[in-house]
Amino acid sequence: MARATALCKTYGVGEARVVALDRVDVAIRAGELTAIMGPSGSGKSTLMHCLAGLDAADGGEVWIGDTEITALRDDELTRLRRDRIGFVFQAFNLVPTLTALENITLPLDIAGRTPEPGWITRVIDAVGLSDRLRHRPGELSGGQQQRVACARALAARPRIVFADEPTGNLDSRAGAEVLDLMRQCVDSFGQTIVMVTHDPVAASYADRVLFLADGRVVDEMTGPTAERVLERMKRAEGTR
Amino acid sequence: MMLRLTLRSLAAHRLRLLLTALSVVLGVAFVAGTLIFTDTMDGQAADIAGRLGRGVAVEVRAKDPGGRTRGVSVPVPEAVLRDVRRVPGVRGPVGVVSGYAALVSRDGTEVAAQGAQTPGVLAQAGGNWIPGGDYPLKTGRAPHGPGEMLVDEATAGRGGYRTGDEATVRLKGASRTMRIVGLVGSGDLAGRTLALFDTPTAQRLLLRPGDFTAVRTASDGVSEEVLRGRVAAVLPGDLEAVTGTQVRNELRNDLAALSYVGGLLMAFALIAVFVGAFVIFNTFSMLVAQRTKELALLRAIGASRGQVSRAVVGEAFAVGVVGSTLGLVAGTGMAALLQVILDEGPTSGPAFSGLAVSGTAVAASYAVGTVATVAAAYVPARRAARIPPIAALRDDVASPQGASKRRVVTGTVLAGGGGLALLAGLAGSGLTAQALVGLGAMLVFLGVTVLSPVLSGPVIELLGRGLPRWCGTPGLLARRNAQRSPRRTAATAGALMVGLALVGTVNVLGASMKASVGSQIDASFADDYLVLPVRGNSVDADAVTRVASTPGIARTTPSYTGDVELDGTRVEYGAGNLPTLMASVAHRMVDGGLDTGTDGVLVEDDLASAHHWKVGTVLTARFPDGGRQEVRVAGIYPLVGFGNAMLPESLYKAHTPLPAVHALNLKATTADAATLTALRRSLAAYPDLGIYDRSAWKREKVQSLDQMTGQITLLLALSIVIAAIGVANTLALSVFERTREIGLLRAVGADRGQVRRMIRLEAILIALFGAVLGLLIGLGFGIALQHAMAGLGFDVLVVPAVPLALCAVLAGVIGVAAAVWPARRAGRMDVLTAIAHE
Repeated sequence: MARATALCKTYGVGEARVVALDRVDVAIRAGELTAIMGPSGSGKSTLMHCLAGLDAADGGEVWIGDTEITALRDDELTRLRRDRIGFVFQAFNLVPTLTALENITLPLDIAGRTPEPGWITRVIDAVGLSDRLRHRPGELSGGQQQRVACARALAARPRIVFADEPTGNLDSRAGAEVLDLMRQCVDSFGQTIVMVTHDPVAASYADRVLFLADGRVVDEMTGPTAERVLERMKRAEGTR
Repeated sequence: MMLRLTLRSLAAHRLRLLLTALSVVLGVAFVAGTLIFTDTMDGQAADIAGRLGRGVAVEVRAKDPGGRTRGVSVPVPEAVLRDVRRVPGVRGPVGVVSGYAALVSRDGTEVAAQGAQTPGVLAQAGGNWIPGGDYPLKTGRAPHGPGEMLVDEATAGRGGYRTGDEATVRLKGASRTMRIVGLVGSGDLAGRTLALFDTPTAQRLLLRPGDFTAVRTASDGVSEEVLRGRVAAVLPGDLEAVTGTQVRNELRNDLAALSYVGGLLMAFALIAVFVGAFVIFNTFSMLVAQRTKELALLRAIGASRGQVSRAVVGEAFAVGVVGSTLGLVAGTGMAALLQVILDEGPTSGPAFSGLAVSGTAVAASYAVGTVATVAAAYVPARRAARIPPIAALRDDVASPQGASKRRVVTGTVLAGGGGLALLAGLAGSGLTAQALVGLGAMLVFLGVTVLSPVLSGPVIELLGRGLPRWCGTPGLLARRNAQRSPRRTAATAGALMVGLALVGTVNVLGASMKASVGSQIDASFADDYLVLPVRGNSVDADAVTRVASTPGIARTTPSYTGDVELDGTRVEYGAGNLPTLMASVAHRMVDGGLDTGTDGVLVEDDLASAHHWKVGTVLTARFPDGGRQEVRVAGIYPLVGFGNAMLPESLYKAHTPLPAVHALNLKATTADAATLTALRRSLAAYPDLGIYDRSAWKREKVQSLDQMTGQITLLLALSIVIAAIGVANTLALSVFERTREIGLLRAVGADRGQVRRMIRLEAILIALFGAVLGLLIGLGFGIALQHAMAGLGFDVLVVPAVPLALCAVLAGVIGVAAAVWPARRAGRMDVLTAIAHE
């Protein structure tokens, strides 16, 4: 579904030079929830940004489906994001002047596409906010806002959804709701999702976890549980 | 410490503050330019007055000489000169003659005065040449007898003449061909032309044999005041003696009367400053809102309210000083430009003699710019002081948007009070009334501005109703963004509102005046043609004969004009054969009839009722030749454009030494192209006479109104430009505030074009909101003014839909222009940094 080969990214020069990605190879499998984990500074956010076409890599290739995106121009990247990628950010996901429903259909409206009949209803049902659709983001709780963001990410039926610490600003209950929702999207809609997180509990919802450290993929885990992820992270701390 | 903070903050927002300062710069530039311009004019006037009145200790002249509002001026008889000669202490008294005389250049047109001329000072002057007087002989010799004259060097040059040439000089009612026997040095006469004769010739041609315009004398050592007293003692009752100082001051004031242009410009300058204050208010409000956390932190660590608000006011002060400085520089340039424009053309004789930048002008510029800026920033500064320290810790400090009920009440009271003041001012007259009109208009603007946050939501909803359908999501977002912060939108639109309201007023008024004038001409142009001097002041007697003998012209009705005092009130009158003259303007009498006999006059309705004159009332008339006579009101007529009174030709001629035809009303046997051509041919030698039929006359009259409307609109454009800066400023700050939001839009697939369109549409909506408010206010003002002026003959109300609609379109265009830079910035924003933006 999405893959990167020999992806490199450095920031700064000289003494201040930081290698964010050091020849990373990853492959995201279709229809799975993939979690990218790692301590802060490990390059996980950079990896996601490069995979999603938000950031340009210094070297290597990124493929979304059968499109190589590192060579795309800004307008092509915009179209790619609009048509094939969904986003859920940690915070400030919604346009404050738009209602929940308008936020959900925003990518479609921007693209000038009419939503597939029934699809939006299904998404809204899945998100469970049908009674709050006319509310502005300011009138929704943090968890509700993130669920609207998930619905927005799904609305245009993207090939792949990138979620950057989607539960980072939520309490554990609201976080669990959002994670359940993402899991449900993968299970019932076959949605491909890539989630960056540093929370072992969040990672435990994934089908597969990639561990990043110092700009490299150092391990991966299939069928994770929170305990195993936590243990793996401790080990990583120890080895460093 | 707070000072250092202020300076740091200024340094951190250099560009933004420069943009803010720009809104001060333009207003101050206008203020400074106007002041420098008037100072310069005044300096030149003082210079000329000093030269022309040099050595005069006492002047003898008619009491209340002909000013614009003063009485009629009578001549000084020669006998008075003899009496003055015998007064002890006088030295070299002379009789001065002055009157209208225009040199006709080789191509047949009069040599016109150059530059802007002031009313009350003859622009094409004739006089008697006095040896050792104000005009030293440069070449040639003194004029002797009826066939010789001197002209000033500049005028001779422009007419194409040299010493020894024969030239035609046009006088009141007649022309003479004379030999130019010498040239006088003109010095700087502010563009006037000069022809000089020997004294008897000047008396005969310009005044009346045996009369002087004034008698002037120097002193052999006695003070001006003492000598004045001695001279006054020998004078007859209707003459007065004034000191040379007073003469020079009066001349200086008359010459500098162009400062009425300065007054007008100053009004527009102050409007611009007022609009600039809107922009500054808004910018500082936004800056304070953006810096809420920073200011709250200051409060939390112990800064007092006063310190916080002083920091903001300090910034405003700095912006004001910088803006005023730049404005002063720009204003100096503007004054120079204005001089060049008024001196029209490169052939300008009266050389541009340097600008006078007085201390007052500098001080006033700084005062206006700084006070306006600090006053505008006062409310935002108070708001800043009220930020609670806890705001430093909270994430979202919603700026208070409530209190809308109080807002509605305050706004309504302000606007209503302003409206009443305006109406009261329009009903009255004089300086107080004018001030009341200005104050009323300002209050209406403030009131509507206070109200407009409440209005902005629904109005923008309405204006932007179709946007989502036509422009998609950017349209929807633009509308919501424009509604997002009603106060900000209102203040931004308010600046535009002021300019457009005044443009609307001027256009309603202009269109109404045009229509009124048009319908008046339709109703009163009963003859076929009108012959009137385009330049100069009378129709030559020879030209009258030529017109009368033109084939196809059935009747020629000459009319005359003059000044008379009726029971002490100075009145401009028209004269002629009253039955035919009144028929030519399709008169209808209010009372009485046209049968005046030799001592009857007609009086205009308003004048009559103001003085309770009725048919049969006997008035004392005092004429400029010094004559007095009892006259009887024979009839009362409505305003028809012949001044405020009508005299029979005989009465005019009896009291006018140099009768001169003012205009000719012509009736044709057949008013066709052939007649018109014949008429043109008859007057070929008089290119300065205009020949009009009804439609040409209407065009002529309407054209000047169009010009006036256009010029005022142009002057108001300045305040609209300032308002556009305000729109740009608001959008730039909004874009900055919404960085993350824009990043999000880009992340979910909005392209740069869509983001730019969103900003542009928001700008258009804000601008249109301002335009709608402004044009509605303008409509109201215009209607009120037209009503107030209905009594002056402007009785037709026209709402010029097309120009007003164009104004609204223009507002939209201004919105687009203002959005160019903010939209580009928004479009250029890097998605990732925008998302990461705090």
